[in-house]
Amino acid sequence: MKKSLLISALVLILIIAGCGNGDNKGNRSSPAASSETPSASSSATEEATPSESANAEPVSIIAYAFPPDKTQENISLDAQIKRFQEKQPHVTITPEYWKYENTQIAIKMASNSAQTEFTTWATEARLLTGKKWIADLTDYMANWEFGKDLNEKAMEPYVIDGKTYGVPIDAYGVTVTINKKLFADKGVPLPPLDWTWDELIEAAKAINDPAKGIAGIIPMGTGTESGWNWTNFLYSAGGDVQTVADGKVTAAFNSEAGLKALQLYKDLKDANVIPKTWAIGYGDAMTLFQQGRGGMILVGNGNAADQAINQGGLNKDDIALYPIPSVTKGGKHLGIAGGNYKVINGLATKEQQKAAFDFVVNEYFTDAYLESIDAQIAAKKAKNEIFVPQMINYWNDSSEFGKKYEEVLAKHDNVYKFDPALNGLLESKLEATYEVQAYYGEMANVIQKVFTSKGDIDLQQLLDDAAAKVQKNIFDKVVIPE
Amino acid sequence: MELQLGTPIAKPGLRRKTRWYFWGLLFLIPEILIFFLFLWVPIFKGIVYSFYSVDFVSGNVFVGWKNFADVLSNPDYYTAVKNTLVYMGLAVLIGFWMPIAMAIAVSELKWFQGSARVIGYLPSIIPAIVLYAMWKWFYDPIGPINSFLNFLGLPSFDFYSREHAVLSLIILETWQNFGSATLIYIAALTAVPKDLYEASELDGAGVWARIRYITLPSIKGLILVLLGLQLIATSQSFQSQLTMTNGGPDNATLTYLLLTTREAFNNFNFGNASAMGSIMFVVLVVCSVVTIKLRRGGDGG
Repeated sequence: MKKSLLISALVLILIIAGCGNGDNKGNRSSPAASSETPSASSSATEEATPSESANAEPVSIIAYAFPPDKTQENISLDAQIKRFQEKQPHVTITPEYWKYENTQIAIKMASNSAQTEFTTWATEARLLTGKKWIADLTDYMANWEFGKDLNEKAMEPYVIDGKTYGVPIDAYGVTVTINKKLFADKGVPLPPLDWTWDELIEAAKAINDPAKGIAGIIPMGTGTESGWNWTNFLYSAGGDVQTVADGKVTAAFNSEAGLKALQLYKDLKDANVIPKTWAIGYGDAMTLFQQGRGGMILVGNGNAADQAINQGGLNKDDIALYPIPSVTKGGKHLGIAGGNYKVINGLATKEQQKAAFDFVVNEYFTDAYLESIDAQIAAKKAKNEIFVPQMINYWNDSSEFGKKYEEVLAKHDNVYKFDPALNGLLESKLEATYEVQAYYGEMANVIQKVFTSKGDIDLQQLLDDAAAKVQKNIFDKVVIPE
Repeated sequence: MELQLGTPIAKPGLRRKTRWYFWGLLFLIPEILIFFLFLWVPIFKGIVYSFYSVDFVSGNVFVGWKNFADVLSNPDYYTAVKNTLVYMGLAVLIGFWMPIAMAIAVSELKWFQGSARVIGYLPSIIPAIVLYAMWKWFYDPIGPINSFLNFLGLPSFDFYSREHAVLSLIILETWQNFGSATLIYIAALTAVPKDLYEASELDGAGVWARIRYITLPSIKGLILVLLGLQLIATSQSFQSQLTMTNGGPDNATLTYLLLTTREAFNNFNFGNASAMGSIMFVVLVVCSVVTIKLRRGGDGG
């Protein structure tokens, strides 16, 4: 009797456990009809009850905090929250740390545990909007007094089909970061800023020293970053990843420009100016660069400089930024566009989204923003670090605000200064629209074939095979929304 | 005495037995709950998701066998299956006998047996992140191995080439994993009756004869169990492939699970990834059943 009672109790517990789980699933996978579904996630969001009208009803949102070791940034954020809450006391804001990662975002959205507002990259715009993971901000933008003052160039990646999905923080085009010290050590002059592909190869040869493990240039050879790196040369040669016509996506990277760009990689390999191993991802390339084991690296401007100076201990005067070289003298210096953006969680309620948007833009174009930048630079100075600004910001450089920002930078001696001529040369082009990560992944295989090849290899065939594979398995399956 | 005690409490014994089950079951509940939530539910959901186009926001859509068709029409799938089988085979060939040899060698030691055990087990306690960073350095073009080769006047060795990448990973994995297997074998060896060895020594048997006719037959059952476990583990390997080569060069180290991970977390194709997981699950279940049947048959014979 007791035994059966026990077994029934056990079964009951299992069923309850199972039901609990099932409930969650129901909430998450049910069609969200965007904002109408109450957010089922984190503790703070549960307090908010969706109500269309009552603006003054309490709303709780989660803000995107910085890693715990970024003390000054977190202090600034807390102060920013406090200032915002003085204006809108009904909004409760809890800072929470999770750094955007494209391999984690699906999990964060599935469990609805991403912050109400978070920072992401230019490259993620299509993914996040396509999956409806971020909210449409067009109406909020229209009602915001500074909505029209934002830098249009910076906004581009997050303006899709006339709708705006992100607020820019900063933007850039991919550049080549150069370790000037390696040139000085070999006694060779730096290449001119408006350099060409040939001059890139020559520069790489000049500083190359395989015996010491120093490569002229560090092209990434593994992971999607490898395809991303190469695509800069594809763009520079005038090529495209794909063409879109009549509702169909067609692979276009096996073009003449593609062949030229792949030939460049083959030439670098044949000249023996790349690292001996192809197995180099983004992190590995950064590490090699800051260890002085490679002279040039292709990343978003600032990033390599920041890491090499502040973590790798390289002198700021030993770092120079170059545009992606042009194929011929006087040609375009095209790099892939990138940048950081504030987006609003698509699973949050309308009230939360509104509050989060208001919070995000609260200090845009204000003195408080400039003061927090000022404090961050001063804090870096105290730690003996250099502040590396971004080249393109959310404001227009020529605007009144842009001038005030320049004044703040000019006050400090620990600010990295870009070559003024660089801005005139740099051009950036948006990433391909559809399934770009899958294309990058396939290109990684092609690049690895080139980097591990011995003797002659049919580059056009490699590109054609990759294009056919991507076309059949990926592009043909793309459904373009009407 | 025992019988006398047993007879009078025959009736209350039943109650005691029930109470005994009560406590036993109570202690089992956490385990059952954890297994249920973190193993059985995910397995079940994985199979269900294989038939859906998974979208956490807009809702899942039933797509029938489409995910399986997609997976099976992807040429990378067959590359991954082939690579995984090759990896499993080579791991047995290169790595499987190592812990056995090590355990026997250690058990034959007259001195320093304890220290040898500790040294053998050390690789297993290195955290994975440190381990991979360390091997990246070992395999570096200017790392210690290549520096040594160059010192001897030999050319550098390319550990990441198409031909060598798989082997490089197997060496790494073998090195990391053989410690725990060695400990299990050593434990089994201590259970082999000492008098067998003494008798064989009296009969004039040498070391090799002792190993061949006493040691190996005594631990045969364990060797088979660990072989099965290693095959299951290597069929699911992806950690070192992800960290060291990311499946390259040109998919030479792309394993089944690495491709599954890519489908899920790079391409966000959770339906396809679940379908791959389900296929793997079915294959492993079939293999396990066959192995158990064969072993039972063997025991019976």
